[in-house]
Amino acid sequence: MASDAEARARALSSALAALDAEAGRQAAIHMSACVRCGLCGQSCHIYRSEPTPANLPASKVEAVASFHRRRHTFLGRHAPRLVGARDLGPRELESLVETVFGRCTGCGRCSLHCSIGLDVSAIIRAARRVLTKAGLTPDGLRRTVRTQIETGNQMAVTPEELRETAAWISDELAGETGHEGARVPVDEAGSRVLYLVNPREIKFFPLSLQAAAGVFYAAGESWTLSTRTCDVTNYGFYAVDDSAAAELTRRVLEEADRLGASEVVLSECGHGFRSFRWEGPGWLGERPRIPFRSVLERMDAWLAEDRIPIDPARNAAVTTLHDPCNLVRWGGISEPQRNVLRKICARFVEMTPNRADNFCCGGGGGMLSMEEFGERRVRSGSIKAEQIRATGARVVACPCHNCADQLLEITRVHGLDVEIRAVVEILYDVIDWRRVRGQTLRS
Amino acid sequence: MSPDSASRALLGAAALWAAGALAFQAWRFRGAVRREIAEPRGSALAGAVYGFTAAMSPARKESASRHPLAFGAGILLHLGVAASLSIVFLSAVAPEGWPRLGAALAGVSAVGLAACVGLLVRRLATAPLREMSPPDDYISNLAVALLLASSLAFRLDVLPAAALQLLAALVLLYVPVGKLRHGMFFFLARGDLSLRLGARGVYPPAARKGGGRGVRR
Repeated sequence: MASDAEARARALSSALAALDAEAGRQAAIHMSACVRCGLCGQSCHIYRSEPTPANLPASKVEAVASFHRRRHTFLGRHAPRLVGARDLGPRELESLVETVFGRCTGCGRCSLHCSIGLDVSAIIRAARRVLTKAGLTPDGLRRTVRTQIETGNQMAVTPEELRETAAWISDELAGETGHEGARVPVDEAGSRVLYLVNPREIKFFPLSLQAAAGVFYAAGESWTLSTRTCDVTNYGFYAVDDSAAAELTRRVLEEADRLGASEVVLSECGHGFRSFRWEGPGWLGERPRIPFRSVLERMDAWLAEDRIPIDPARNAAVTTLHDPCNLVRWGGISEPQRNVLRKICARFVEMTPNRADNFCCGGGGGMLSMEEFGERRVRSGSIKAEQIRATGARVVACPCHNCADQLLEITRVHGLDVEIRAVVEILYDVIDWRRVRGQTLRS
Repeated sequence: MSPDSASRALLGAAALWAAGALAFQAWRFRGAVRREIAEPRGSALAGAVYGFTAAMSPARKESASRHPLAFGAGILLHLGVAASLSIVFLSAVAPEGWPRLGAALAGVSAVGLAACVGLLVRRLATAPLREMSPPDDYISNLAVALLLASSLAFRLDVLPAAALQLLAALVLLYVPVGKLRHGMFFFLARGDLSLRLGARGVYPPAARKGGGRGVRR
């Protein structure tokens, strides 16, 4: 019992130190600006699907800000009740876990529609950082971060497993396309591009990797996977474990250096793109030597340069597009995927709302790795399901594997007869292989 | 020192206190709003311009388009506050001058007062708002109502200038310590978000081919 008490005391002490460290940071600005007008509810997919006061974005902000106010404002210190300032104790820490990990995906939609312009996501991330430093990250998320750090990827794919998968995908690809040169290169030094994938592609969705390999080949791109670091995801980002997130970013840059790559291309992944492209330099404290690009940007450029011969008539299904929050609202990538889909789909329709105004599918913020919040996660996907239904589409292009997992589940729950596909898979299907030159251009 | 001079001095001191305390709080965050280290994809400045202009229009902001009454009341309230502060300022520097302007400002203050009362009623009547509102929310609302009402009363010759200035000084004393400090933090918060979204190419939204933005109102 004594050790339990000691552990709780240590957790609280770490949390308070972490909370104090946030005082001069960005999130504290936003905490200090909220006027609790409560006009944010209808912009939040979680509140709309479960309209309880605790799910109102302003309530979540208040749940965090009240602790900050207690320690870092004049009235908070001297007249806490007057300004709703609260002491952070063990019970409050537990309740905060559900608030910031289980009631918010950090999608940021409420921020764009906030009357003030609060970055609610920054506040939630600050609170996640506090909880992570106190050792209170939900188990599923913590385990995934640990696996990623220990094995190099979130699904513990071994180098042998990756090589074997790459070998049989290469056989399939060559057979399907009729091009012997079409394959999945692994650990090939001198390749221009280091390509990072979601380990789910290796374990469960090899067609996605096969499609990417086909597209790279058709475009004549020089690329490789790496057995040392193949993972586009970064669960340190979700847990707001900055040291783990920085370590995962650093490893990729070191591997790109080792292989002599001049660009890192990221598979379709919302938080992966945001992590490497935007947050990574902040974690490392410097701008990386080589650029990180989404494969969506690459596909857009290749099609614009006519490097991939296509026949869009092969894809007649009505296709719509899901906008992953971290890719679009926090990443600025909204048009490349649209440019690609307009070229490769005979009938492309937009969801409403879309782009930076899209609704989160409910699977963001690491929700998929936290089983304890699964029920709410699925319920919060109902808005996205209705958006999809309203388009009448049969195919949903989904440029994020996290979102794809969530969309697979919510479309099943809501009885939607749609196919969830990566953009690269749709492009692969319309490549006219007879016109592919079959040359791999080396840098 | 005459009562008028004393009230003016107190008002001046309160205004200095409010401005100084807010400036100090802003200074504490001097390192918090930082440029992205990552190579920008857009323009932070263009993002900031958009963030403080079009992004705040009801066409772009659901907090406005989905809540037209509350949004409208908020706008009127803030206009009323600006008008009231102008009345207070004029009472101190030119008590006999600008009669027409004073009447117009009083009208705006009256509308602002009605909006202020409406927003207070909304807070009391909306369960989620009531649940998360500390006394500070009500004190701030009442402080603003006091400012609006007293400036109106002054213009209607019900309240002497010295009393108006004393009441305004009281409100100004509270500004930097309670919720009213959002008057400064609003600019920091919206600026921070807009600069970041600008650098990332999210703000302002790019010109689109086909498929509108589709904000649901």
